[in-house]
Amino acid sequence: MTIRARPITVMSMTKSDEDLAEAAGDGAAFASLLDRHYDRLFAFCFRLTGSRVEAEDLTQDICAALPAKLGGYQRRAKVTTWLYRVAVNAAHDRRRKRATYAKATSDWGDWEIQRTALNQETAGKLDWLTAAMRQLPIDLRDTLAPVLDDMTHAQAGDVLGVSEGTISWRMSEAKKALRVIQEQEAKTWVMTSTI
Amino acid sequence: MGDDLNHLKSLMDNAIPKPDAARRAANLTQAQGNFTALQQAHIATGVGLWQRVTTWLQSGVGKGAVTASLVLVAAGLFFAAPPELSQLTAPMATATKIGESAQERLVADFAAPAPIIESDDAPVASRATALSDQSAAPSTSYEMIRATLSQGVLPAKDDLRIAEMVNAFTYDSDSAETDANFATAITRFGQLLHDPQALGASGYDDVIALAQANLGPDVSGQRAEAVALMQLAKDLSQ
Repeated sequence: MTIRARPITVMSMTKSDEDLAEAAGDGAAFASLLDRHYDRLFAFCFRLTGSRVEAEDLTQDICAALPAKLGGYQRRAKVTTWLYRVAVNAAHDRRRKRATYAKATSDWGDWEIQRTALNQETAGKLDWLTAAMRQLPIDLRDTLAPVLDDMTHAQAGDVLGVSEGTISWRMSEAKKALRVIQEQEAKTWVMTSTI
Repeated sequence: MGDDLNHLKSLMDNAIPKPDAARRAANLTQAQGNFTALQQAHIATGVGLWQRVTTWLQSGVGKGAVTASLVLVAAGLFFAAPPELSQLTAPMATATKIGESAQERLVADFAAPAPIIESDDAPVASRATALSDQSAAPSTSYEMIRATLSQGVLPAKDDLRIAEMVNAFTYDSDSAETDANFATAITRFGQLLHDPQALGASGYDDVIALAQANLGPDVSGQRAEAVALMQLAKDLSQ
């Protein structure tokens, strides 16, 4: 029996994500795939959690578990869709664990820590974002994450495992909720400025 | 998208921080290490856990995910040296003969439908376990726990059957008391996997000590392996 030298695959940037994902037998291909998507994955984790610390931890969880999940990747799905889906599941997992062990914290919760480093104007904007996100129910937050990441409703549906119609309905709910939040703020502003 | 959403989108886009560079690098290393470990577990079906855990450590995963105590355990087997190609290729070389069929298995895994990813809410660990079992096909709860832990993931509670864990061992040492004590340690290990706090603050330490003190002759090394798994689980549940 002759032992064939294993051909060294040169990872050119022309390879598609789907090629790389399918080359699951190759560690270099896997590393290249993950490296390419890491920043976007991290950003998505932030969109889901609203916290830098949570996003870092969540990304770490995903990276550690991803090799085992690669077997579940199917070429018909875009790699980003698949990665986001893994991220959403991992985020649910973390929430559940947190609910079990320590009820105190929630996503979009440790904002104060993050905003200390920022200037006032930016901090003000972030406060609004945080306050708004915290008032939304979790399924609407999860829906906003892929949609605000420029995914179509169909893609967001794939990520969240629901139909396109559900995404559209949730988005209209989110818009309604945001409008209410804005109106309440306007009222509060009028009241405080007339005192 | 509508004005309301555009406003929210721009706020969100501006809020996203840059990932920490050091953690980025560490996470990528860990991912590739886990990948290598998993791949070798696929190829080397039937290879003992020690080889899997040590290869996994050598490939650099241990740095991030698992702390000192496992390294201490592993230090009994080899010196903590940076991974060298020769060390990494050694198990691969022995697996060359079955390499082809293992590759086919990996391909088959790909071709197979993926109900695991599709199912929305199953815990990460149980999905990881289910996937890792596709080719190695551990038949008992203990083998599943072993496979999951050696990937650096705590097993899902659904995978835990304490009776199967206890039955995974042979009890043929000269002392019935030693065997009974070891079986007790395994039972408590199962309890701790269900809930790390089940046996108080020093739960894992007590169980590890009990198991360690009741290894008996342990010709097959399966009891020592169980102790290593306990250490691993202790680290992972902290």
